[in-house]
Amino acid sequence: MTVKQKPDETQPQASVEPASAPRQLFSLNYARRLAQILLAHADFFVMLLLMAFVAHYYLVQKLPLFVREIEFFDNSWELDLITKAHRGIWLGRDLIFTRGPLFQWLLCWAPLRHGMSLGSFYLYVWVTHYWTTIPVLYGTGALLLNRQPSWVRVFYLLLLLIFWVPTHWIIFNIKVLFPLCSFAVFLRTFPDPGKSFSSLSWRAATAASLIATAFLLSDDSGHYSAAAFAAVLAAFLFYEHSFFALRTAAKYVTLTGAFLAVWVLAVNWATGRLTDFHFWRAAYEVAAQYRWAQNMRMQPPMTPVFWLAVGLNLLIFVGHWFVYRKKPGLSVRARASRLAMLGFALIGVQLILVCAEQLHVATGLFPWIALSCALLLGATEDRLSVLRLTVSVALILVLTAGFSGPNHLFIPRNVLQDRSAITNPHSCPLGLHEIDGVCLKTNNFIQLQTVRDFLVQHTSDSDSIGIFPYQSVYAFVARRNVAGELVQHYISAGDYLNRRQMESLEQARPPWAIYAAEPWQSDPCNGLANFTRTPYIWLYWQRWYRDDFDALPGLLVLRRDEERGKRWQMISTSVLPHAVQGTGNEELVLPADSLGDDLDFIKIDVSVEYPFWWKLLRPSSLVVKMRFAGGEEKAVNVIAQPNHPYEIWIYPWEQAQLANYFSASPKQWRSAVRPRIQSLSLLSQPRDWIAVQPSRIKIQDVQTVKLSEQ
Amino acid sequence: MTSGIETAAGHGRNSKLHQLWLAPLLAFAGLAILLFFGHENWVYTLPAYEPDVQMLIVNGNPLHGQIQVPVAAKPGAHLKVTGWFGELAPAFQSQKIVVYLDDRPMAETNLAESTLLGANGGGTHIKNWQVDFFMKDIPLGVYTLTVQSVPEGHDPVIVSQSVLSVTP
Repeated sequence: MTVKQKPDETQPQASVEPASAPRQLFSLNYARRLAQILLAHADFFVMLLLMAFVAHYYLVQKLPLFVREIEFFDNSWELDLITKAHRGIWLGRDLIFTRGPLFQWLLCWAPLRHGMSLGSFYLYVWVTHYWTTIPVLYGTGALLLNRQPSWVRVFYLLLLLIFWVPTHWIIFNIKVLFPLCSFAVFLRTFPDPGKSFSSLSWRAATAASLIATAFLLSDDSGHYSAAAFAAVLAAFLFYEHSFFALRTAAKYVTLTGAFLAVWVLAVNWATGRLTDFHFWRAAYEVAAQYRWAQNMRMQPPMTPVFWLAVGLNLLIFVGHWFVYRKKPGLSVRARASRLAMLGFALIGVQLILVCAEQLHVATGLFPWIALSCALLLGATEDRLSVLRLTVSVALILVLTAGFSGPNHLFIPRNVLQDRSAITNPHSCPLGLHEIDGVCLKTNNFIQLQTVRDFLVQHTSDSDSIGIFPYQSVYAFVARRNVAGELVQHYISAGDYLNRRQMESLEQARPPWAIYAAEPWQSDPCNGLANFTRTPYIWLYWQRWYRDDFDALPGLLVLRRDEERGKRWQMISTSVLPHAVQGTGNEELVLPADSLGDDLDFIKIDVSVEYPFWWKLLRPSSLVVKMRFAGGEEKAVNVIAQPNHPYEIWIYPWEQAQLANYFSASPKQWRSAVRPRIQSLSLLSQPRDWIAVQPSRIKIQDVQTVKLSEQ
Repeated sequence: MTSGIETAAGHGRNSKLHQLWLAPLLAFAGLAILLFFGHENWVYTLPAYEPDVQMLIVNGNPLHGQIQVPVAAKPGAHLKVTGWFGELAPAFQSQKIVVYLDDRPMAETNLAESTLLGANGGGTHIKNWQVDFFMKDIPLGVYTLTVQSVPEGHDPVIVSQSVLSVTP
């Protein structure tokens, strides 16, 4: 029973006031202070709310997840990184890939803690994605817009996250966003002339730590973060180059270099020996070879979209410059910041110039979009006027309405829809089959189950498995490690990476390998046949392994055969009497008559020379054209390392037939109809406006190659 | 009764208050409207890689295999339709492939044998074929591209039908 107490009227009023008034005042002040903190850091609390929402949205799902189809190409390396982390095998120290050990840790942490399976990978991959994206976007806004009211930063965070940041599980945003956030730190902490040594020291230590951390994330991030530092430095020196300023900048750069050197040695120590620079060499090689070996052309419809985006972003910067060009209000620091922002945005476009397909274009443009929005919202000014903020917000909203829409995740109808089917599944629905915590369609299920069962029965936990060309998913479902220092063969380009991969395969000698024949079980990587991309790796498997079990047509389980390897021989015959050379736009006709019938492959020793600016753009595509007896014509895409001797290998006939070369009997290697080659030529084809035409192509030799057993 | 000065001051304060709220109100109301009524996210509206061919899976009785057909062409272009069939019934061993554009036969070809040998004994026998033709005297428009198999002594079987756009 509740008793309501009447106020004690006999109590004198005066005796109440002194006791309760300070308490009320304290509470009021406390509440006011709390409200002030909440308002001042509203962006931080919104970040926490967004992270909580994302975690709740994805993690309410229960296994098995309805995945339906495995994406073999990119999921393969992601899943393989989890297997490797589980075994204590880490990128940077034991492995080479486009990502670094920090990325591997971020990707693997949750799936490893909650039971390694396909299901746990798919469950946590999006959470990892957003939990890295959201804090970095928050950090960027907090640093760039620190002088603006907190609602501006909340608006910036929501705008970028919901409407502009590309979300895809392959291109993890953190790779591009970390350099963007680092850039914001460099901008914010760049020292004014005359700063003390201690002030310079902590700024330099921060800059060096961010660059080193970026390299631990991925080689791309490392290079972009270093470029961000250079862009900020150059912009500040452009506007402030008095002796005093130069001296401060020199001290800052020297200190940053010194701290970076400490980081380099620390990373060396963690990945091997103090004087072993293989981590840095690999990061350089992967980035350097990627430009010619992995590039992708820009589709014609993308070109106007790209230029429209560049034009609009450029217009925002030019407009800002125009408005403030005669106003004394903008400090030198602000002008330098604006120039640095433009410089870093242009550096980000490099990603598009190398890989110009949809996702890379979106990812490459995002830093510029983020910086343009920040510029409009006052990244370079003190508090903006209400009018200026209103105009900026209106402009941003109009551009967003015109060119983008919300990420599906945040759309109200998506958030509110009934998800009970996926949050509380009892089993896979009709037509899907459960394996390793996911529900798959029949064909994917059969593929994985057949290979998994075979590997589990025929290999031990300590065995590593060979994979060609890229389907490491098979090893993952059997919980086996994939052999090779390079996580995927397709990044093997250039002498250094090729040598590392071949040496690691020779050392590992996996007892079994999975071969997925092209085009039935594999796709060409960026339009290039997998044999042509990595011929020596294919030849390694073909020499030492024979077909032992066909899981499905074109999906072979190969067994190591030492005797086969010893009997194996490869005979090359030169058919080019003298070197042939021509200009970059010439079709070089090669002697086809002397090729004969008795060959397996054609090897062209070539040297393709490009002007130096290919390193800022992308080399042109190369094509080998063939005409066969019977009139059929075929054009095969090939690649060649610019300004470096290179061997182009091609299998002239149907790629699927390469699977027959794994037969135990050499008589079956050439079972297909193979019409004689009547003409052969090589030419360069710039497939978009970015591609640089070679200045000269020199063909040193053309050889026919034949495989046999003694 | 309030004086004129007080009214003006009050009006000024209100005006300042309105101004203070104008920008954030616009910002968040704008975001909310775009969230409810916005169109596709920009990533999906960017032109994606669209191959000018498509792979069709033939998975039925009596034929199974794959066919690669063009989806777009310019007038006068050289078009190629390729495919393979696996595990053919005896009646389909010697067949002819005919390609039609709407009802107009464009080209025909015979099958060539190819074998993917297997370690489990035997091999996967497939038959490849390729049909080439030029888009001569074909006006702009959308056509149905039909691939027909004609077994010897049997009625023709339509293997696949797809859409081909002829654009300038």
